[in-house]
Amino acid sequence: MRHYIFRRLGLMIPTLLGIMLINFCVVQMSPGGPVERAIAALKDGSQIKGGNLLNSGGDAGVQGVNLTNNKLGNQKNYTGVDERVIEQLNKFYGFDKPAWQRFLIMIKNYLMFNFGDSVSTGQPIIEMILHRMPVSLSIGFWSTLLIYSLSIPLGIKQAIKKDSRFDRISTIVLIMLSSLPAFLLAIFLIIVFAGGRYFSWFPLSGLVSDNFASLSPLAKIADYFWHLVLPISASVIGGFTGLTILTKNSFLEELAKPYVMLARAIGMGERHVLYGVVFRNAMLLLIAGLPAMIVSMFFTSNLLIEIIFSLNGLGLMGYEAALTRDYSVVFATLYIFTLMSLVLGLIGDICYSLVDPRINFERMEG
Amino acid sequence: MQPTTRKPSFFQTRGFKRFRANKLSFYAAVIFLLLFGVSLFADVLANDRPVVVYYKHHVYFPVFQSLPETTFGGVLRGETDYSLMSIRSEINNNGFYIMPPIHYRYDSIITDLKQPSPTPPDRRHWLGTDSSAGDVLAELLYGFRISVLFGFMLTIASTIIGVIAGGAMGFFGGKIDLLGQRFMEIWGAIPMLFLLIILSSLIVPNFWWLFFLLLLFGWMQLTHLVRAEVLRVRQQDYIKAARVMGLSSWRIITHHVLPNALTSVVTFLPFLLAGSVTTLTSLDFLGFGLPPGSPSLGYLLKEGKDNINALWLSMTSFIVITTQLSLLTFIGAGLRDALDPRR
Repeated sequence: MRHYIFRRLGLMIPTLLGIMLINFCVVQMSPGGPVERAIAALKDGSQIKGGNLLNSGGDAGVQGVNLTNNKLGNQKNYTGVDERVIEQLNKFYGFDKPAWQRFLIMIKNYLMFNFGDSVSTGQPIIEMILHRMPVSLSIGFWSTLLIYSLSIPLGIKQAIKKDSRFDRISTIVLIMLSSLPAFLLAIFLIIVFAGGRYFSWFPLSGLVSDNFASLSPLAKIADYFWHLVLPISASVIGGFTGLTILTKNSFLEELAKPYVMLARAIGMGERHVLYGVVFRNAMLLLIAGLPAMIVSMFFTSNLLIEIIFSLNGLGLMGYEAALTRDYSVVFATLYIFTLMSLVLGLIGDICYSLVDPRINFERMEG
Repeated sequence: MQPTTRKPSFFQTRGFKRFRANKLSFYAAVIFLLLFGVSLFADVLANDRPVVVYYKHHVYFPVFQSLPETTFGGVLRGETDYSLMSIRSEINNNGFYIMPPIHYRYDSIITDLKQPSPTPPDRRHWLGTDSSAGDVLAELLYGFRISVLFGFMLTIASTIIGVIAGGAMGFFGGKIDLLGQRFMEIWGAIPMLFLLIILSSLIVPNFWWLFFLLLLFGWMQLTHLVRAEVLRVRQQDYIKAARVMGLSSWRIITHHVLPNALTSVVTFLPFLLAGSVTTLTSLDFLGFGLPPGSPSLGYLLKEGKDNINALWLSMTSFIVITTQLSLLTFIGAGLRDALDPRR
């Protein structure tokens, strides 16, 4: 077991390095990097002060500046910004060093969670991430909680009443719901319950009201949940089919096992058989699946929900950063996402093999 | 494999019979194919040109051919504008023309609306118009067609890549598998949306760009599945037997491993198609999908969200997308039941 964990941890290193390398290349190659941004800002400033100093082709020049080349001197006339200023900027952002050095520096910084400052807001990125994390976590947490508390009873009921009308109809409804992407449901919910035309029961966007600071503690909690109802419903409705079917199947599987027959044969009540004996065994697998569930809830389905409800989570932050070409923020977010999903994936696999020692991932991989 | 027995036709196979017996899935497949079939004729059903023109003993099909105005006695060399009264009466005086049931294309801009667009449904626009004065029904027809076609193409392409990559990783295992897994981990960590946003500032994405990009990220789902299946099949005794008998790797893969692993691939295809359609719709909704002006369900959904009071926009797009995706899911569920060897 320990060997397996170390092996998996070791395998994470090339993955993370690969992601960092891609980050690095994109940041190096894409236009609108930090130096160009600063130059553009300088240029706008001087334009306001000094009139039309660089009207001729100024924009094209900024687009065409190649940061990693030494041709910057020739570009002076285009950007209209003093060469020394550009040099200082390059030094400030570390562009005066060769690429491999910059890459090593970046790795070191990423390992220490030191992502630098955001270009557009000027805040340290790690602070921004920590600031936004609770929003994403609360959506993910409540959705997961709701999904578990809905799916397990429903799955058990389906398993007990297998092939009844209830089972068939609820399965059809579940399949239909599962086919709907969360963002579609989100739009539907907004139109019906927040659009102002039908039922304006819930707020259109945001996590708290404007007057949140002045509310009493109890009202704060109420306000928080009031804002969360629609986003969570959207992510829950599309998400609980899988778990329900899993519950149903694992219950059916357990029910068919000999020990259940034994329990019935020695005269145990049906209720006791179901909840005392079968439940424990069937639940193990579901609980072991929790980390994987959290990964998918937190990191994959949240992005569009956050965008649609304008909730200030990590997903929306990354999206906005990509729109404003704030690459360092985008890739810091990405790095955190990947790290977390790798770790949670490992925890999930370990849970599975703890629950069922017959599951051996090592042998599978060999 | 017995070369002497005749292969049963597709409709006689056990899988098809069992699929047929599952009423819900079978009718879902029929309805989906029907809808798709209808949408294939979108050009004839919703167009601003007549389907047939009979003019001075000549028959024209303006939907499929481009005719200068001079054909009908006009003076301009450009494409005929069939909405002009002069052209219409000229044709009527010398023959006749038949318009499609819907007189608009997805990109026709309707200029004679009685109130500012978006307008609610009426007798001329059965599902109303959107905010840029386009007919919603025409947009839906074309949008449905392009989303399904795009989905089909993406599904086929990613299936080919997925089967090859997953098959190789599962069958050869070892270093190939390990490297492949790491590569997919890295590749899978790059969010497509962010990359699309970054790229859309560099290039103007068109249909093929988008297809290529989605393919770059779309092949992995199936690869995971095929790899797992092949890994499972590879352990079976009959594969070991085949190996002992000295069959080549190629023959073992094509004749023994893949046929058994492909069942789960086939089952997965409707879900893959639904996934592709969803991705395209969500990208169109965000404005990073097909280039502006293309017919698209996601665009209609965005229209619905932006004009929240125009129920005909939001509800129509919602219902169409919901129907499309649930039909596909039901087909997939039916296929899974029909092909599951354990039942």
